[in-house]
Amino acid sequence: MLDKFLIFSFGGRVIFSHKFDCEIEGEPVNELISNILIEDRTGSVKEYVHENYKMKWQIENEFELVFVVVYQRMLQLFYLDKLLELLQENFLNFAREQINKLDNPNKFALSPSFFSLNKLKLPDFRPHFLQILEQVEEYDKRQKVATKMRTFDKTDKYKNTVTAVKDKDGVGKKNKKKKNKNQNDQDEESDSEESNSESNSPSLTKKKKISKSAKRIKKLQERQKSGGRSPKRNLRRRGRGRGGRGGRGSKSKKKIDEKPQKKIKKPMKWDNTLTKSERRELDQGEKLDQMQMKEISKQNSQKLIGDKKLNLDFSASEGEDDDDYWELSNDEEESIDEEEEEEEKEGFKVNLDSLKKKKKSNETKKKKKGKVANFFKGLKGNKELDEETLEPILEKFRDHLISRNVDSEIAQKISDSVLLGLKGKQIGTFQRVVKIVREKIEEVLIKILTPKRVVNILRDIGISKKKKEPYSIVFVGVNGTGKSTSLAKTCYWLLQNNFTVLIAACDTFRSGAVDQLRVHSNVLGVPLFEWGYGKPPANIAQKAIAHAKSNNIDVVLIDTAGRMQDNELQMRALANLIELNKPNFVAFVGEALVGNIGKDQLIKFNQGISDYSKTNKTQLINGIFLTKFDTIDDKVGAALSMTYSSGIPIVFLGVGQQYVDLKKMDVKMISKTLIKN
Amino acid sequence: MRTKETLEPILSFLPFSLWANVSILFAGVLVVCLLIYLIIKLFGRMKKSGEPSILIVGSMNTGKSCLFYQLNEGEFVETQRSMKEQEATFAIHEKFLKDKDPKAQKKKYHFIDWPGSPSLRLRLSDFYPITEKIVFVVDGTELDDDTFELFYKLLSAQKLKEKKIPFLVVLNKSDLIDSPDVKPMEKLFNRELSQLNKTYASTSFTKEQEDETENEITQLLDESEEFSLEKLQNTISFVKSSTKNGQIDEIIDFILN
Repeated sequence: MLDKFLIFSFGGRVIFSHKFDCEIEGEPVNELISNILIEDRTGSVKEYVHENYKMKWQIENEFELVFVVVYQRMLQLFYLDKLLELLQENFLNFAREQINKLDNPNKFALSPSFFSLNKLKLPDFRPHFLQILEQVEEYDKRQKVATKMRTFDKTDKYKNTVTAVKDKDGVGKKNKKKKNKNQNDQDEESDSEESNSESNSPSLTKKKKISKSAKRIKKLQERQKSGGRSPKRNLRRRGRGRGGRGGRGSKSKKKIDEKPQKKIKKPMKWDNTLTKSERRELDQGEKLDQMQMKEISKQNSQKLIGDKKLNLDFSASEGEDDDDYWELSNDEEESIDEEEEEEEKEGFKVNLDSLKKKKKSNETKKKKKGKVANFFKGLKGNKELDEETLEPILEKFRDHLISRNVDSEIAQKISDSVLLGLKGKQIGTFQRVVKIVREKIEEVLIKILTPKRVVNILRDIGISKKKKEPYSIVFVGVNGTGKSTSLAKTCYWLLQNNFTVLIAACDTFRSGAVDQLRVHSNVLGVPLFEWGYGKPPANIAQKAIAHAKSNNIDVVLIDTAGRMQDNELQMRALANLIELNKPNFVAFVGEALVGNIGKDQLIKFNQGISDYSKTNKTQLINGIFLTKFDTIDDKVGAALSMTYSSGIPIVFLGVGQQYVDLKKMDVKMISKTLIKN
Repeated sequence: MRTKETLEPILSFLPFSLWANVSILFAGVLVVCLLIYLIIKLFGRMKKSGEPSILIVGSMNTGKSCLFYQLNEGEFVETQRSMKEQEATFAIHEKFLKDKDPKAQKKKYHFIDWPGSPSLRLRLSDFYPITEKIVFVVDGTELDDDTFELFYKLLSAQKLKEKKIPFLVVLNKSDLIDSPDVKPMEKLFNRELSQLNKTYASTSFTKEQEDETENEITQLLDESEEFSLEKLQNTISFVKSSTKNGQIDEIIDFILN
């Protein structure tokens, strides 16, 4: 089911690769590296899709290794996370073993250069890899087979209804008849299933198995009942809201028990004659606090599970958020989780125990070295960065970035990536963790802000000039961001570089737009192509470009009307303009002041242009003009938010109202401003 | 007794008894020694001045890491896109030094393999001060704008200009059918770089005084003259190679001389 498995170092060396039956088309792993790993977007995504392939990966920072598994995009394989973890542990132990087998094991030490420079030629890892893969796939198969449906008469629900029926006399008989009918239908199906499930796992006792799978099936049944949605959503629909402690199971039990005694609704007491217990019942704040505590503990347990607990929970179904699943497991009695863990431990006992033993033996060997050497080694630093030390520092940096006007989501994603990038790294004792985190964050910011492809407009204009075609630049954006002003500044800059320019007034909506451009054209001495107000902009642009071509003008600057990103009609018109005229450069003009909404504007503009065009391959936004940069002092976070979310580079910064106030994007300056305390 | 007499006046400035003073002084000397040792260890990571540094740069997917491993191990190693720079000090693999004099076989070089991705290029300038030679790897079959931009950037770096660092442009992947020859490539480079030269005229933008000059790209030659690589201060030579097949003899010659 997998297509390829790779282990490679940060420097690029492929240490181990295993190709399964099919040939891989293209270079999906290279794309993964370029788009996710280099840009440190590891915090925001867990899997990457490129063309027909999906990839999952695991990064080992201590030895600078990446473990990647490539598989078909359509498949949903849940065992991959565990597979990667196991392979990682196993590979490192394999390497350690090989070192210890040598005559002089002290000559080599596990380090990044050990792998990347291949200091010791390791034997083939393939048999180990195949063995682990087989085990994990086997286990996954067993999991799937084990969860078969029970028959109806084995469920708790049936028992409850039968007992309820036995209490009531007359009412029960009708229900009993109905139950019998259902039972007959299911009996035929259940026999074969029962025998299958029993024969597959003889190690567990029957009782244990039934109760565990009983609960699982109860889960599934509840889900089926509510039409495929999670019980959490189900609760919401029924108006019970969140924070239902005890879960569906206990609630449904309550309902059935109370049926015989009809609950009389007590009238609400509005005066001060409440007893303490009544007051506590009415206190929603306490319940909310409890809910919050549960959420916090849930989040904490999620983190733990990500790091250490090897919880092989395969029962999550697709299409459900992680949140839904975790709500379920918290609502259920905790015994389920324990039971699941026990079974998993049994399945993997051999592997994990043997791995643990090996780790311990390695550690004891280290201690046997000389004390003096040990002392200096300790000074040199074997301090390993882990989440506890990094988290508080990252939180401060996050708050700092948010105070600099970076989107809070993006700040979180960046800190997640930095955490993943520094976890497990060895540092010297004299190096302060704060300094290392700061350097890493600066590195990440620089990587995000640096454009993936160098944007050199002047050079591109030169190329178009040779082809004897005009180079057209369209300025798009929402209202009031400074398109017309940016256009005028760009015109001035191009004139300084000795190009001939034509301005096309395609903002036919705003009153005074054409006149404003007329003033600019008079001052700069540049022809203006306009057709008054009210005419369709796409046609004006077309004619302007034709005019430029016939008169050998180098550049056409096209001004458009400001429009809201949500306005479908206007976005369609814009997409039409771009499709019709095929400009060489589409510049999105955004304000630095506006911050996070700017990110939304940019994404929706980009989407709108591609969605509302008729062809498949349309011109998207090529670059961002960030205007009003002089008004924000050091709150430069908008630049980061925009670049991070869209991947579009910032080309120019507008720093004032004069023609000369146009600067090229200085990545280092902005990243330093963002970090500066 | 004599020692006591000699030591007393020296250590009279310390308030305690004689032997306490001596032990304090001794401890102080120890601490200083320890500090010096640690400082040396921390800074010991700096490159020793003996070995020349050779920077291997270029666009993505040109064969830089491949070349790095060929020099080290003498065989083709499968590589993926580099995420991080690789530095190592080693002598060139003996396979390539069979006909050279034995001194060359022992000489170690500090090779720096820099990733080709543009996002990782900013820190490259940190290595300019220690670079002695630059090997610029190019994929002859897939030339893109990025190649010329990077080349121009390197040429215009102040620190490299001052030291007159020699450049070697390696047309890699010569094992492929459509790999071009040296002369047409030289002409192409001249053309492209002259185009870029025009775009980096000094009157482009208003400069602030605090601008960093390391990553700034300045114009190489005046626009009025015809652009030619020979007019630059750095010597630039072009060779063909195939890192896959191990045909890197001309690169070795460049490194050794």
